[in-house]
Amino acid sequence: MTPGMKKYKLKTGYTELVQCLLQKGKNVIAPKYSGRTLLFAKIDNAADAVLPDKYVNTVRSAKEFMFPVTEPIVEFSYGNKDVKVFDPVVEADEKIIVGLRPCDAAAFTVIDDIFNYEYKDEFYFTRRRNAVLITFACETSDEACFCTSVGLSPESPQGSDILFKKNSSGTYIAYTNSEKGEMVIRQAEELFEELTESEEENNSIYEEVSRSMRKPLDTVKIKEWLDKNFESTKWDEYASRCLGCASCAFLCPTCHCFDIVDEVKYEGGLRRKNWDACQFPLFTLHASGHNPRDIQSKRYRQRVMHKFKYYSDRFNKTLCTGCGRCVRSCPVNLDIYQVVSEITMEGVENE
Amino acid sequence: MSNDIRQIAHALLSEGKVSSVIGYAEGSLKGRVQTLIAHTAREAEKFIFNENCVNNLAVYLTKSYGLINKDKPAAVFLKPCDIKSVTALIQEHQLRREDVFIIGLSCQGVKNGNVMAGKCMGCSIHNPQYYDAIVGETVEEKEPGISDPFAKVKEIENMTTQERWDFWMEQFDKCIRCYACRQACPLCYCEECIVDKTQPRWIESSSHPIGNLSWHLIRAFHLAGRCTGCGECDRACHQNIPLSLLNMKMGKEIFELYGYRPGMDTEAKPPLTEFKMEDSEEFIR
Amino acid sequence: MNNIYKPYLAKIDEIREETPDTKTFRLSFTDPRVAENFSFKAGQFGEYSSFGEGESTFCIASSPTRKGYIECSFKAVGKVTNALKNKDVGDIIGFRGPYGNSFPIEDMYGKNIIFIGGGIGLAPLRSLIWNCLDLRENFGEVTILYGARSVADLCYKDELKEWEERADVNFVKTVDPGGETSDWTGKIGFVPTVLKEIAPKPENAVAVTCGPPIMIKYVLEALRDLGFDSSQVVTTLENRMKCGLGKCGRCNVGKTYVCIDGPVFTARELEALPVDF
Repeated sequence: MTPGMKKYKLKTGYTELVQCLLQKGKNVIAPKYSGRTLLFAKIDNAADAVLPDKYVNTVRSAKEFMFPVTEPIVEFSYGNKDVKVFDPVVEADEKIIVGLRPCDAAAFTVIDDIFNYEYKDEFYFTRRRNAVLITFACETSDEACFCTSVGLSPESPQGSDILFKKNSSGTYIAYTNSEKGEMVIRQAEELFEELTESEEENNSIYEEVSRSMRKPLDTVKIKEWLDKNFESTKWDEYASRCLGCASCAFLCPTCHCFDIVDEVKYEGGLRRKNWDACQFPLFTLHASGHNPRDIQSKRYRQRVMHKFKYYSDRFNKTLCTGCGRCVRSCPVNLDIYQVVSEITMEGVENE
Repeated sequence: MSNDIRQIAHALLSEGKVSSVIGYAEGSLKGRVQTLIAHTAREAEKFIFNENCVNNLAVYLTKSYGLINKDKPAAVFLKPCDIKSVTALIQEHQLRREDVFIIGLSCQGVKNGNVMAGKCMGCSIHNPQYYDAIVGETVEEKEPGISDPFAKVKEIENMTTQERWDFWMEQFDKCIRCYACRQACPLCYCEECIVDKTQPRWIESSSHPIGNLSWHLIRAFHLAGRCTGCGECDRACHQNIPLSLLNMKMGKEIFELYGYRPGMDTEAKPPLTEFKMEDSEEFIR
Repeated sequence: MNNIYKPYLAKIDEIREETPDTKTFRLSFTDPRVAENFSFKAGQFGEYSSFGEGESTFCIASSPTRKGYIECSFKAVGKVTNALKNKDVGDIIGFRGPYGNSFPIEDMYGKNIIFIGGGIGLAPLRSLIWNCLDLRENFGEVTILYGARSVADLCYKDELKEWEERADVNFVKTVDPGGETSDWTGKIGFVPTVLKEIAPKPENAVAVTCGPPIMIKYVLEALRDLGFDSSQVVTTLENRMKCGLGKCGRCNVGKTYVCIDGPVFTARELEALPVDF
């Protein structure tokens, strides 16, 4: 665990924690069903917050609370010769995101780098500063999960302000990881007590979950192959069945590509930043008609390269936290874990 | 059955009768299958057919995949319901009959996840209507599991206007504009989708109520009298927006106006592409 | 909040029609503080907005030595450029920038410079050309080879004349075969062919080229044949961009972001990139 991390015992269950935060007037975001779809949503009633041992993960990641699906970045008004531009109000009220999984909390530490690279995107960072991330370690996984392949685990603390883990008797222990986390503990102090030295913390369940997951990948080997195989028939093979939808990118907690569009009403309008994806042909289409990634194999290659090579070339991080959403959601079961594990098996070609 | 499938794929490829065979292979997750596009006889051994083969492979017969318009046809494994998509593509001159070698599969219904796929509930065709080769025994035709294919649509129709609006706005609110619905649809083959057009921009591309509503309604209109009900949009939508309900509603309107069901006859003209003197004018008031 | 997406407002002071579909705007910033503090280098680019339509990426076509304004040239091909085309003098547009790296002008001091441009690809070169000509004594011989499909497609016609008349510039103009007029005095032939004909010497020289991709490809070959090392050849890439800030994810060539690491690259650097542009 990170040095300086403090430990507290939660005297109640999850719902009581959510209830307490709501009572203190906090803006709580947690996994909640919308019909059959489990999504992070604002909680008004603590009972709506689905218990962390009742789900593997949400359909969408929590990325949209820092980097919304669509957000205004510039407002403008115009008469004929009189144009004015304004900063839109960033809806970044303080929020506590509860019920995250380690993969999703860690994703923020990965994409922080790009939003801070050369130019700082304050839309992202204003929300980031105002959000507290409270993670619950995974007591189950499914076949799509592969966080152990990318340096994480069902109990990784990366990116979390507080990580909750159950001890062997089923009590939640809170591990704080930041001052923001400490503050939440203080605000809900009646629910917590300091953990005494003698108390049991361990629980083998998290290691069992780790072991039950797909065999860890060798990201170094993957990168070695990618370094040498920009041109490979493998790309055509994999992409031939890809439908070119962007489910994978849109559900990914680390995919961060966006479009910028203007929308107009009467004498003014908004400029918006919208999620976009490298799997769409229009993404890279030049005005001249030239398209550097004109076929799906080039676009699929871009996705894999960006995740396992380009991002690590620049930021020394893998642009993937193994959450498995792309695997679960792909309509044709194009499975990135399978793809990169296959290329590693193939060894390093074209030396 | 998987054995027969491999044999026929192997024969077609080794005899050079087709340029490729599009079929199903084992998936990486329980209950899922992958698409396999085989170009050599060697790959044929991976083909399978089972109750998880819910995917409609007709989507790969649209031009952008580059598998048709070769000197030889592309062979494709199709369930009876998938053949309807081929019929529609032929009707719309997207595909020539001779460019596709249909390997028909008799089908007793497939699963989507752990349960029978929604499209199978109202299915009344269990054997291929036409084909170039057929795999598997003919199965007994049976009555659909539900008596009224439009029952779900009627449920929505019976809501008050406000309830209907609230229902759909809540559904569309989940849309993040990934366009998986469009990409999975065999009949969404436009080279440039209206949502991508910018001069002018007909549909706002942002995921907000106006953009999402416009997108889904316009897509439904574009599929009116064309959608064969394969349900791939529903299946591709990870947000579980019941998109095929919209398409079914349009299908019901078309059926009531023109007595037409899409994807049944390669020679038939889709009603919205032709004019007849006796066409209903009830909607003009 | 420091909003990296918020453009400066700029007034169109002057519009020149370069060709039937290409225009040049001279812009000045409406905020006097911006106007005073703004600086850029030749080769850098910006995001120009027509409010209500969106943003479009072009280089700054004027020289950093000419203070008080910037210029841009664009062809009306898409939604934004068509909207810009319809603007009048006095209209306000948006500008974000300057972004990207720049031509290595200080490394060019004392050297012979060969500019090779095609069509609207002259725009980024023009910034550097005037930068060099305004500091003329820092450079050796200056050669400008410029070509377009036809006489009507030549940009900056007045300036071409000026360069032609200058004794300290070796100016060669050409049009593609069939693009000439009866009174055309320049050469007739494709830019790479004419380049081989005028055969600039590689010794102590730098070649800077920009134009359509196909022209650049053959110009690079011609320069190699003429003995230029790929480190002596500089070009500028144009990829589709939205943010210009290294975030939106579409302009990358391999791990290289054209908007941050480029748009200016030596031919040697290009050789090291995957063919993804």
